[in-house]
Amino acid sequence: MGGCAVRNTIRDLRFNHGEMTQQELADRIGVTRQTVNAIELGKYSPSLEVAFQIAAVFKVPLDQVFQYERAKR
Amino acid sequence: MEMSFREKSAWISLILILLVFGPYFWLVGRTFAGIGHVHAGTQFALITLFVVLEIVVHIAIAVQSPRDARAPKDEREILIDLMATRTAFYVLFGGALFSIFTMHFQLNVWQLSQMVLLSIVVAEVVKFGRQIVLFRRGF
Repeated sequence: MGGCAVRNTIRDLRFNHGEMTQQELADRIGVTRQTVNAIELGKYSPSLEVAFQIAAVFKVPLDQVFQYERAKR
Repeated sequence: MEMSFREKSAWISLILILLVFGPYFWLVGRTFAGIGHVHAGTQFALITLFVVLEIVVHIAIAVQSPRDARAPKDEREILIDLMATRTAFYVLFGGALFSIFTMHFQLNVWQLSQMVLLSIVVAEVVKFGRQIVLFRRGF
């Protein structure tokens, strides 16, 4: 949106945390597995609350989970 | 990708509304053109059929995935619902205006009621269609 993109490292973080499944992460942050999948694929930018919850699950700072990149024009 | 309960629900509602009301409005169109006839009570019977089918099929998919069905909507599903409902509102609004406009063609009460029902059905089709697009494509 607005020529900008939010990238994330959730898939890598899940892999590095005992190969946590999307369902396990979804259960811990209170969303559906499909929503976790949509976030991972960049099809949905979560609310700040969910973004912080994801970071808390992996015990990392928010900017290690999400990176904001301005799209090249 | 495996569909969520809400996406399945949108697909079911879209298919059912097209299956039930598609043939009905084809008959209504023929009646408007003077080459057919819709029996009294058909409208009520179809709405009842649609509601019953919606309930039965939704119970069937809820039984298959009870955990998903019980879970409250998450933030993405709420947003999708809101965005689709907003689009459907504009369609319904346009349909209502068009229905008012058709009064100038001396339509009878039954014909006017069909215009209003058509507006509602088209708005619902747009809502479920937009939900599906947003679930699939993202936003």
